[in-house]
Amino acid sequence: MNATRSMVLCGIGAVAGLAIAGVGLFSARGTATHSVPPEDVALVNQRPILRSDFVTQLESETGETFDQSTRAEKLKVLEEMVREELLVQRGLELDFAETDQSTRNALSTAMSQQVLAEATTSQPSEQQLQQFFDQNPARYATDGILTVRHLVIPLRGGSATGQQMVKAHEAVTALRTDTPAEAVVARYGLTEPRNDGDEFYFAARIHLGDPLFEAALKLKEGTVSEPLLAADGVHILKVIKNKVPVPLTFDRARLQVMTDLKDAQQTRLMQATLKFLRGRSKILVATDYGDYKP
Amino acid sequence: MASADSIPGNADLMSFAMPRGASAYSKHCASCHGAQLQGDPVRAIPNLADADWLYGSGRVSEIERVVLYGIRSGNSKGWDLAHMPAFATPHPYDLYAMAPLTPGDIEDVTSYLLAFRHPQADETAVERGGRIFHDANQGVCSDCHGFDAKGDSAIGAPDLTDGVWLRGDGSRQSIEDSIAHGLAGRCPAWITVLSPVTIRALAVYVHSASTRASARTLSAGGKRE
Repeated sequence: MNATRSMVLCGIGAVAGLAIAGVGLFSARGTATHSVPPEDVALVNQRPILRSDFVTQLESETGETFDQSTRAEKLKVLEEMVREELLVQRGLELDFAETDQSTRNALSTAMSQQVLAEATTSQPSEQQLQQFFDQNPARYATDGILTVRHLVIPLRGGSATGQQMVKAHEAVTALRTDTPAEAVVARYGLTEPRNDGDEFYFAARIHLGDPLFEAALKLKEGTVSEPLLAADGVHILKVIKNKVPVPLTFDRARLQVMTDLKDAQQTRLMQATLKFLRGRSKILVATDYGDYKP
Repeated sequence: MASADSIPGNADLMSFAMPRGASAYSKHCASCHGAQLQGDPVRAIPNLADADWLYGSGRVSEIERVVLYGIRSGNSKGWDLAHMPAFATPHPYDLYAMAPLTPGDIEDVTSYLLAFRHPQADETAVERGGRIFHDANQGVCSDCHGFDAKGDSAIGAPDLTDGVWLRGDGSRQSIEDSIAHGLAGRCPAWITVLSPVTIRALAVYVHSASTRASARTLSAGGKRE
């Protein structure tokens, strides 16, 4: 009798234990705490909504400070945040990370930022900065400035006639004897594609193109080039001003050095992270893309 | 539960928060912002003790938000709405297309800014600079800094008229450098590192230092720089 009773009680205990465990496993309520930590304004299935986020959201929606907001406004914003949390949790249940492209984009961006956050906000030491500066001297100079008059005899067929070359040489002679560029343009029927005054080197390079820019750099201030034949025309350059870049001192370049160093650190960090992820992953590629190396 | 902004008016909460805030500041913030919260204009690190705020107006809740989520920290809740373009580069801004400025343009805009506090010899340069400052197709400066150049604390665009300079000493050279090479300072997000209590204490400590600095300036009868 006693043995039977023991078995029955033991069975009832086992069933009750399984029921409690089941509730705990399959219902969020089973593991819920009933108090909200002081830094939170609510817990949704144990996921906190921070008071700080609540205040920011409230102020951003109402345009008032937290203390100026009414109770109704506070409750409305709280309802919105709880609603958002519920929908986010449901999105996770439905595995939107796998199926929804915008969620994937957001996750990918957030992950990149997370990886880079350390380099983004780290504060390099003076020694690191100085070392980077010393290793990359060409990066740290004042901006070169070029002022150039650029006159052109346009060509249609890609080759200049003898008459056009004579005209170009006469124009060069006129410029060298200080005839104003405007007068030379008018007298010889030249064109001047643009006259931007002082330009940074990079802008002058874009406007002139590489060959003409390099030719201009070789000219001294106030001098005029020989006629330069190109496919689109005969070009003449008169360099008014050429302020060459001057190396910066470390003190003056410090902020730029820091930006460049962090950029370099971020590139290295992202490469290392992807290398690590690839190393622990099994990536199979279809045979028709066998030349891809993950 | 006391709101963050009510703490400075509560002596008990202040006596709890200040030592914790000072300790956390010393450990986590002083390496950039300086032991006296004075910042570093060489590195464009803002002074936290001068009551001049890039973001918000210096309320404890606003400072707390910066400490929690940072500035350009990579945290999606951090401040990251805009940064200063580098106008002496082919592509000054990475968020949308913007034309570079010429050396002369940069000089003119600098003259325009300097003229807010000191008359400039070349008034035509000031006029040209003003036009570029307000031009929606060229400098676009007023888009962030405001039509009156007094800045916009909602996006961290500084007031350019008050003589407080985030980077450099307000000299022509340093202003031209900022326009030419841009600025995009960063502050870490501490939400995953520090506890909520420590973060709030830190915000209270910084707010307190700023408030003391303002009071000193006002009692000296001077206008805050």
